[in-house]
Amino acid sequence: MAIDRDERELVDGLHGDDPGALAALFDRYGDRIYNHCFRHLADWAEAEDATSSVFLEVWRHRHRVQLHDGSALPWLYGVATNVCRNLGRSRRRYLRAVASLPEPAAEPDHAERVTDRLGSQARMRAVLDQVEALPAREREVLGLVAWAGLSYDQAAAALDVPVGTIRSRLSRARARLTDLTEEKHA
Amino acid sequence: MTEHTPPPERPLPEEARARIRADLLAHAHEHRSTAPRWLVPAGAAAAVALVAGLSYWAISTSGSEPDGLPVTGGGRSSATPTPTPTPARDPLPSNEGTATPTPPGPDGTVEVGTRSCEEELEFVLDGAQPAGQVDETATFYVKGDRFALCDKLGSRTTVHQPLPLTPRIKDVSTYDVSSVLDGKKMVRVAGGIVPEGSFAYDVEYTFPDGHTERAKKVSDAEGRTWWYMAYSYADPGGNETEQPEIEVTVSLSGAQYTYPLAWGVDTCAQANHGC
Repeated sequence: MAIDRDERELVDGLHGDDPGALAALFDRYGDRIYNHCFRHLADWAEAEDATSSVFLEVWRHRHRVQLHDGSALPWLYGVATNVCRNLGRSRRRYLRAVASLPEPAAEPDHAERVTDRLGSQARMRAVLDQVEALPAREREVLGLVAWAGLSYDQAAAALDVPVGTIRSRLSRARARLTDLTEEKHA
Repeated sequence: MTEHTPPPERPLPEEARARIRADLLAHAHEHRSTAPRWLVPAGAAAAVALVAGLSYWAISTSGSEPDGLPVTGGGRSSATPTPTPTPARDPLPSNEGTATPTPPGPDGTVEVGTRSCEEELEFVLDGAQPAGQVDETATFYVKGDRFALCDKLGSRTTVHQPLPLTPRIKDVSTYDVSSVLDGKKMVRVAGGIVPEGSFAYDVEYTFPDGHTERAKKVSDAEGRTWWYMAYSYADPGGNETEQPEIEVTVSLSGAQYTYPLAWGVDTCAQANHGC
């Protein structure tokens, strides 16, 4: 349910401590942040929690929210990238800690929705495994530009780096992925 | 590159969306600045001056923000260390840190819970239309497959969390009450839709003071039946969670279900202002 409210007003609302503006921002971009977090975490349930954390952070830093070309989305992606990166680190530490434990038996669940959910998680984990070889900075650019569909300018605003840096990181990421793919199939 | 392509996007599940939204609103209301923004850095500076005795220095730097921390004074800090995408040394927006208070805009001066139901619904169930009117103080609003109760009891306009028009009769959240302290009186309100085709559907609330209030029912032009309960009692004060829980008894076709309402979780059904 997106609320048709000018983004400038939303940001003014956040600067003016208006909780309604936060809710409207969530209505507008909650799905995009949810999917962005999923692409970091490969887990829909964790992506829900991460989405909540992102918007709580937005409220905490509401006086810093900035527009880029009339949109708060790049700034929001920047917060989301930081939140999900931190959650991803914690999660990797946790997974390493439990890696030595025996795997629990898979619980059968015939619900199509659950299967689909698990399938997409497995697929995302496979994708993340593939890009794991990339430096974190390149992974983030890949996530914002190739997966979330941000323009170079928006990604630059999200990560607070020059546009040229985005171009070069993305270019390096693509080259590395191509090399990795070729190595894998060789 | 297909092996580097993530799975298709999907929307947030409705339940998660509603939960996160409600949490965000509750958190934002709880952690909003109570003083005008220009007073926050000024107050912080005054405290520094008091402790350090550096009044001149404090006054001259009262608009500064240390180490990139927000100026909100928002209470608890988050457990998740999450730097913002802006640089830590990022200067404050141009209108911050000035000694002259910026007059709030016309929107900024409105206190939540003081406007009409239609206005208060804007960020809860925007565009919802009145459906069932209980009396001059309470009306159910409907949009799509959800509804929200709005009441004007307890000196505030209270919009309840939207719920599905198809009630989940065994879900305790269906019976959550809003809570508004009006002077020394605690006002508790709840409402919902009677399941279609149900017989002998009744909802009763038993409160810490021992009183049992039975929900009344009203029908609307669409043929739907709504139930509504409002009760106010002297607030005993102290720690609410140490009081007996409010208990809901739902009767449906001869069967009875009883649900205790968890303090704070099921007793804060309002969506437009804090508890």
